Amino acid sequence: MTAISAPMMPLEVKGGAEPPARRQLVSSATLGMLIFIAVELMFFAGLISAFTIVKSTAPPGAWPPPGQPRLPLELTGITTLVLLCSGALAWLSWRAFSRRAATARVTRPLVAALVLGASFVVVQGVEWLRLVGEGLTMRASTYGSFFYMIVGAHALHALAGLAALAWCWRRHAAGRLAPSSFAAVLALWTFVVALWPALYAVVYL
Amino acid sequence: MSTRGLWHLVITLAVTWAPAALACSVCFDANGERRLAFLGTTIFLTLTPLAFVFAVVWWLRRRARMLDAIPPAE
Amino acid sequence: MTTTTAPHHADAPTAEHVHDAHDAHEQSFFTKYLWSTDHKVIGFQYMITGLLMAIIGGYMAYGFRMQLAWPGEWIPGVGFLSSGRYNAFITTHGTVMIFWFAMPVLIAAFGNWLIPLMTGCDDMAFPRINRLSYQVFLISAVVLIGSFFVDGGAFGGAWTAYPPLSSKATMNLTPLGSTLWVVAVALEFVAFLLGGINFITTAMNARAPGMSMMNIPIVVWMIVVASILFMVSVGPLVAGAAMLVFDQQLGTHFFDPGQGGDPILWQHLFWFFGHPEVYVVLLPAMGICAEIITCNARKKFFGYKTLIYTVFATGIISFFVWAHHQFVAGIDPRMANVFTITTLIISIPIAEMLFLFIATLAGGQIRLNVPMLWALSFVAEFLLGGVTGIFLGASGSDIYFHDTYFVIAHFHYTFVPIAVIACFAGFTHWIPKMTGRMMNETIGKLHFWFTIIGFNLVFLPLFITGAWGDHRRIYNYDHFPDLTNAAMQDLRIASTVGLLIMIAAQGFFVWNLLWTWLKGPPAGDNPWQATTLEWATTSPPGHGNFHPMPTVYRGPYEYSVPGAAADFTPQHLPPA
Repeated sequence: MTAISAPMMPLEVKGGAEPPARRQLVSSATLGMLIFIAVELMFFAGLISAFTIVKSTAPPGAWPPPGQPRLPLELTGITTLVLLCSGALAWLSWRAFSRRAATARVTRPLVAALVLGASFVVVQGVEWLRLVGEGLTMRASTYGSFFYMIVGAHALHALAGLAALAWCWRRHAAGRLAPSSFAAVLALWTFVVALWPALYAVVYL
Repeated sequence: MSTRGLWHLVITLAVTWAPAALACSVCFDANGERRLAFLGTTIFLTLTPLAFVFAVVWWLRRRARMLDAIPPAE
Repeated sequence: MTTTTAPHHADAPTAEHVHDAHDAHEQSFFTKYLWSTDHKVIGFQYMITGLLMAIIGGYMAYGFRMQLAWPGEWIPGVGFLSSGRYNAFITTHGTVMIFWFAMPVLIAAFGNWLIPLMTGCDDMAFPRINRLSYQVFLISAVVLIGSFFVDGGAFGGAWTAYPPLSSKATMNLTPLGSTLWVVAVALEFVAFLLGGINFITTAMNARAPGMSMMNIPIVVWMIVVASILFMVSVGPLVAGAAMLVFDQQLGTHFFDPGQGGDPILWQHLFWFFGHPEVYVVLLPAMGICAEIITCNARKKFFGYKTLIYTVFATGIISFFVWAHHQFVAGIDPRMANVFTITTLIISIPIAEMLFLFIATLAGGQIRLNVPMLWALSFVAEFLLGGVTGIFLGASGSDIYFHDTYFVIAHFHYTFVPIAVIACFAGFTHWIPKMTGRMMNETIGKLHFWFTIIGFNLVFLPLFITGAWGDHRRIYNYDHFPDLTNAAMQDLRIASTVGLLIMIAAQGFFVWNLLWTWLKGPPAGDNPWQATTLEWATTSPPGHGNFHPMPTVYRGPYEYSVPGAAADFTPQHLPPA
């Protein structure tokens, strides 16, 4: 019943005595996710704008504020690469899935993406604990407030994305993963991954 | 562009970039960096949603054309 | 052409499945009316909740208008209004009328009702998300009302919630109320995000076969564009709201200039949402009136494609005008110049829409029934609001008019036509479809005239006092000798009397609803001889809306086509 006619998105093509067709350029799940991503993109655009403005009001030499710990530039640079790898692996998994490859070829990159994504979040969490210990808290300065606000918001999205990937993995293991759901989850994870380098450049550099 | 249109453009730009307007009584902030930050984020905030929406619409149109090119399934 | 067949994808909770589950057993009141995924029930839920909230918002307006007309006196039904309660009333009136009345009724209620019916499908694309949307909305309304009963009372920092007034409990004196206010607004946004995803997806993916992009009724286009505008503009305000709550409750300093924050930043984030929001509610109201005007002029809509492109232009330009709310906030004057120009530019597409309405009316065989009266008055009254906006959009004159009652009058001349007049136009036009009964024309006309007279009496005097320099954020004018001369006070009293007339006029509407319920004659499928798809099904539509599902053969406004059998040709009628 299902025939994959376009590389990007599998389409269902039915024949027979069905009622006349309703045209769908993209599945409802993916379209809904794209709209949701638009909202999230603007949420982060608002945070970045706020950060830029507050940063510009600081007197010269006072950003980051003296006495506040520096952010872990190098370590986060490495975890950024890890997260990007996770995104690439998720796409590999999707490619195998849309070509109807064997289950293992879908599952292996998917699980690897999950593990890499989870390790990104865990390293972030450990770094947070260290920074809080060194005196960078939400109340200490607007610098700290924005750091936890922006990075924390991204971490929440990453957790949601990981949960969605894990859900895809379980559904696929049960053989019940619909292409449109996978595409929607992939769109979310791609957003989370692609957003991070921008946030890294704004907040850390 | 006609000469008349060019003049309109020049006048508009002159109005837009007149430094004399900075004498305005309610403008307390002389910090150039903050002004630039507001200007920059205004442009950023305004263009981001439009760019996203246009990208999605463009992608959908491309998809529509791609689907139209595929012969109908029997 | 390759197309997918199922309106709902395999994994999505489809409407059919849900309906099957429902039809299998006898529905209790709870499952049928409170836990339903049917778009019509959810539309009713939004509508009733929105109207109840409007009563609350109207009560607030009554309270503070009475205080302004007869300062310090005992007000029937309210008591003595203290300055704190006055602020809370003002704030809640603004918030409720925009977020809990205009948006739920115009977008959510009419969107839920009209999009599936007008596009010819059985339900929304995501029925369960739709149900969740209403539930979150209901919770947000409860949180907002609850804020009146906490320690310190409800938030009183105006609906724009500028910090530092909104961020510091030492200033606003409402330590809990201000946070509950932000939380309620944020929850309301979540509800509309869920709803908006549904509207856009349904209109994109579930249209009846044959309904191309240029066959979609105008009101559906308008609600979809409004939803897109809402989606892409609300993010920064959600970010700002989160920062505001952190400032209030966690002791951060995002908006505190003494500690490295920036109070103008809030205005930046708020108005980035705040101005597109105006178009979010304006566009559906325009769409409702377009439907009614076309139907009752018995003429094809003049320039359908022009209107659609104008709507797109409005949507795009609406992102370039928002800083005109901040002309006196200390923004860069060069930026103010740019925003003055863009603000004047956006009046062009809006004017073009009104011209299209007028061109549709020209030469038509106009039926002056109640919905048509409301729609025509929308055009007239909104024009007044739009024209006075030019004064406020120009940064030079805005410096004088800012924070005067002129702003209030301008704003209400746009918002009352949107939220009140267009809503009543929509109700009177579609209630026969929703309930299967006709409303009473005479009571409807009485309701219309008293509301319109009351409305103009409220806000015309405020233009005058505003031009005289009457400042808006004042609780008791007795303390301001410059603003207490007899002429000004007379105008304030006239305005309050107008409000009393307007409130009393709503009694006609309640009477009309009761009359319709008790002895309204049956409406039949198509009482207005209209062409769009919702009139193709029964009134009220049953489960699944259409039996069989319709196919579309032509554009939405085929009225008075030469050579046709009747003066209207419905969209679903096969060509002869």
